[in-house]
Amino acid sequence: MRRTAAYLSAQLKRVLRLLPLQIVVGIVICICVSIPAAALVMRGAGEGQERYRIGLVGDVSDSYLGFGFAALQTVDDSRLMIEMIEMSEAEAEEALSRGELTAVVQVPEAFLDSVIYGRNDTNVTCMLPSGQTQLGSTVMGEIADVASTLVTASQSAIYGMQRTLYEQGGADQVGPETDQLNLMLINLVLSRSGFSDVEVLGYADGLSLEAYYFCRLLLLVLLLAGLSGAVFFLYRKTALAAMMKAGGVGALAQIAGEYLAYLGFLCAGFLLPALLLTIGLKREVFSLPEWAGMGARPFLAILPFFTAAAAMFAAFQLFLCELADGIVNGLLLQLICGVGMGYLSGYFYPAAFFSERLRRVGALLPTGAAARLVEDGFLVRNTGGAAAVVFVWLAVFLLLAAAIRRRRILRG
Amino acid sequence: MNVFNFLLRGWLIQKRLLGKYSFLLLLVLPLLFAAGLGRFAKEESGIASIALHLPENDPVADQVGEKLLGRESVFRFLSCASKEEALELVETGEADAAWLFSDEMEEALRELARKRRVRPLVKVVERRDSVPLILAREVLSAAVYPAFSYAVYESYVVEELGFAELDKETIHRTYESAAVSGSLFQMVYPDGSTGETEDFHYLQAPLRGILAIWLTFLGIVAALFFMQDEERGVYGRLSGIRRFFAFYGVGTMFLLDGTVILLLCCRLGGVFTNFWREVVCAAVFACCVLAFSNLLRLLSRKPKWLGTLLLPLGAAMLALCPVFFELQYFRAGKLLLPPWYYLYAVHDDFYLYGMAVYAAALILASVVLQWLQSRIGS
Amino acid sequence: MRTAAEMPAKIAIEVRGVRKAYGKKQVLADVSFSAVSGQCVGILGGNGSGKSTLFSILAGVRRVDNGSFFYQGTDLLRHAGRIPKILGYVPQTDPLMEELSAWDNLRMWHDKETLVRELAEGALKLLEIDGFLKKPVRKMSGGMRKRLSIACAVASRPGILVLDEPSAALDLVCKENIIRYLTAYKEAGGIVLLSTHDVQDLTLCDACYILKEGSLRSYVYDGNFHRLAEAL
Repeated sequence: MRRTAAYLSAQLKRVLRLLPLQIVVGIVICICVSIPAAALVMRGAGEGQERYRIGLVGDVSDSYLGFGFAALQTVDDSRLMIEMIEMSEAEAEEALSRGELTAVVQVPEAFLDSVIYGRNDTNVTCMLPSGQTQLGSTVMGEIADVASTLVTASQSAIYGMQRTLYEQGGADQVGPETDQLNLMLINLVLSRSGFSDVEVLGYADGLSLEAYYFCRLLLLVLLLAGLSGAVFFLYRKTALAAMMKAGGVGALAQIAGEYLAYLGFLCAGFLLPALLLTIGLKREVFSLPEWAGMGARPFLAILPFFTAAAAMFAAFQLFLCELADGIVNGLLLQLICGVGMGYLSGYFYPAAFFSERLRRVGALLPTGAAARLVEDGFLVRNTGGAAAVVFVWLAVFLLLAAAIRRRRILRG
Repeated sequence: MNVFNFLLRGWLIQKRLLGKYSFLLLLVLPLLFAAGLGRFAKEESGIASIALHLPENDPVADQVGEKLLGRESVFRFLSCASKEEALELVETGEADAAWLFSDEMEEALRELARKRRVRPLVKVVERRDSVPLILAREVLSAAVYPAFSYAVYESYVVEELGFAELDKETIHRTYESAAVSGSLFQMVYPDGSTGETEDFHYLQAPLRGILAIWLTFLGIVAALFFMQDEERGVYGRLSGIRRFFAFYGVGTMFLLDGTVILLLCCRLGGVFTNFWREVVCAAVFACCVLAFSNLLRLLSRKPKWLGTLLLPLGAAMLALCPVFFELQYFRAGKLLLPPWYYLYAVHDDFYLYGMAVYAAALILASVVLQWLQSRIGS
Repeated sequence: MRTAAEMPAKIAIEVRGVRKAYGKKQVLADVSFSAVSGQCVGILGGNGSGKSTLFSILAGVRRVDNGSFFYQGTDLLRHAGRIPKILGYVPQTDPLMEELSAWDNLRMWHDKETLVRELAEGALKLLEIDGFLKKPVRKMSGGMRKRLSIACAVASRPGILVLDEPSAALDLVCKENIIRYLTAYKEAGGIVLLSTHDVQDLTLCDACYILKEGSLRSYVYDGNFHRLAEAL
């Protein structure tokens, strides 16, 4: 027991030696957190603010088209969701390549004629960013479907009316009746949101999107923080493990000692970011809808849950580094497992986006368990169940790490 | 060194790498992830879940229901037998919204069409309003509108045009004969292609980005591996420029495995486009990653410092490259990251050439740096 | 250095029928030998002959398939918990924490009082540790590392010291220093077991064995290096 304590003490001394580096890491973490946070703020992740920006290219000088696009920007409900910006083709392509637009809509000259005469043989081109297909591109497809349905259903009604007139001998009335029905349908299309009566219940039992990403982003940083912990595992020696074993300190005691020191090492790296977050919240530099006007108190209240998550992630990182033969492979394992598990547990896209089964898998993973614990803590719910799952994962990782260490000692 | 020697050394490095079970694990894990994602993406999911309650035996409700439930969508629709069931799903958080349709949809729609008015036909109950739910309501409007526009047409023909003697069937037949269908929009990428794969799902979207980051890290791992060997004196007898080539040899072996896995993952995950396009993009990307890792190796000089770079580099790649979202700012930062070029190059030659130029610039920079370091060293 | 008075008056060890296999490969077939207080037993053998396996088994690091290691009548392989107090083990590669100084590494094994005393007049003085006490391990030479490793191992004042190739890749001065220490350790009544490739170490040994094909065979070094090489 005395030697186990001495081993822990030696590991803590190592941590102290590495502390200056860890302070640098703390600063790096601040930058790491602030980049995606700034990204989310700049994107206007706050609900109701984010809109799909669409560049409009082509000749819209025609009175019909001009009226249509003006209506889209002023009276149509889609203005809450889409921002149309008229620009030249070169400007649009440049803006699209810079990621400033979700898509560029190109209206060909013959489009209006094609619609008016019901040929529909000229398509509006919707150019998507050249990168891999993303959610924004998929959503663009949905918007295009909606627009197509509204136009083609209106066209069908107008052409049906025109054909009736031709068939019933009222060809001379076609012009004025078309105008009248057309205006009527435009009016009805513009007021289509009136088909639904919306009642918003509020989010009393769930996190706001801002709070959701606040929690997940911090958890993601904790999860990937092991990448900066490389230096802790850099000089791992089997000979030391063997000598400790000969000296009466078994694999589990060794792992426990290293784990506690490593946890301290990671926590030291998070002191600065936590302090900055506290100051930021206290001075109301930023806030979350749920914490408006409450300062840093709620953040300090959920800090223990983040610490518990960090404790489990530290065990996970230790396990992966023990599993990998060499620190280099250990780091890459941490990255692939961290990003993969984080993705499945909704650290990037909200978990609600996934299928039921995938959500269940994501929730069972250590990342999901940590997210649930923090979420329960955030919403001041009973955290017992989630804490137990986190603890079980922590224990599993430590036991697995100890089993691997034991095997390493036995094999030499 | 002749070709045989070169191949032999390459094979020996491969043997060393593939002999490590954790390296094999590193190659297998992305494959499992991609295959799992490809499979799970086919399951029912959506950016918002909507509980639907449609009245029974109502032709309009049936038509709307068919439009909503019978199509591919980014939304997940849950059909509910009663309004209470739909509301419960919202209250428990299983659905983001409930759409409760009027009991007499057909009658109500005809009445509105006759009056040329739009009035609520659907009660929408939401947990919290959001952009996805606004979009969902647009989808709802688009589902209701065809039936409504038809009702408007019907009443217009009878009441405004005065053809009251026409029976419903004739009116319907005339409408059908003139009806227009199809999409007015065509989705294209700058290279003219129309989409990655037919069965592409938005959940698969980040796969290529994750793999690109993974390959970049594999390059850096190659640099760490090489630096550790350097510390052991493995390359002690090699002069500056020879050591430079030695790194490229070792790195190529790492990235050869990685590139094959990347291509396989794209195939398994359902984001594979054109064979040659993929191969060329991946090959240029691997070269770019190799040059990037070499420059980082030369700049950091010690494994400890290169290791410390991993976290900020990972965060920068996740934030600046279009993996999960597209950031409109920090363009200068994006230009420094190889995955950013790769993710655009898949659909755009401009970025493919850009990536090649960037790789050449990196190689040039590292040659200069290596030369400077060897001069200072000597 | 522990004095002879502090050690049990007369200690004896007996290794009997030790067997160990890795899969189908029998590394140790039937290894037996014995030693008494003040004796040094040298185990010679080629690379991969099983010397390190044998020593790690005796140190309680690896498990034995069969056999016994008696110390004062107690089979230590059945009572592995007693090994740390009886035996000091120095592995082939250094078991030191790179970021820490010699003092910090020693503190992991010694309490402060013992350390001060040993540095002043005991084992650590003989090993000349005080010359680099504050130096971080990563800046130490091979000789310093080896001496420090031995210093760590003798912390529990063991009656038996097991050293796996203690003089490998060391300079003459350093080897001499280690041999001087081990001689003093023997004289104080301790038993030294060492594996070696170095004929210089054999001057320390009272009994030599060659480990070949899993079995031990007694050997007397007559100063002829070629004959020794052939025997290995």
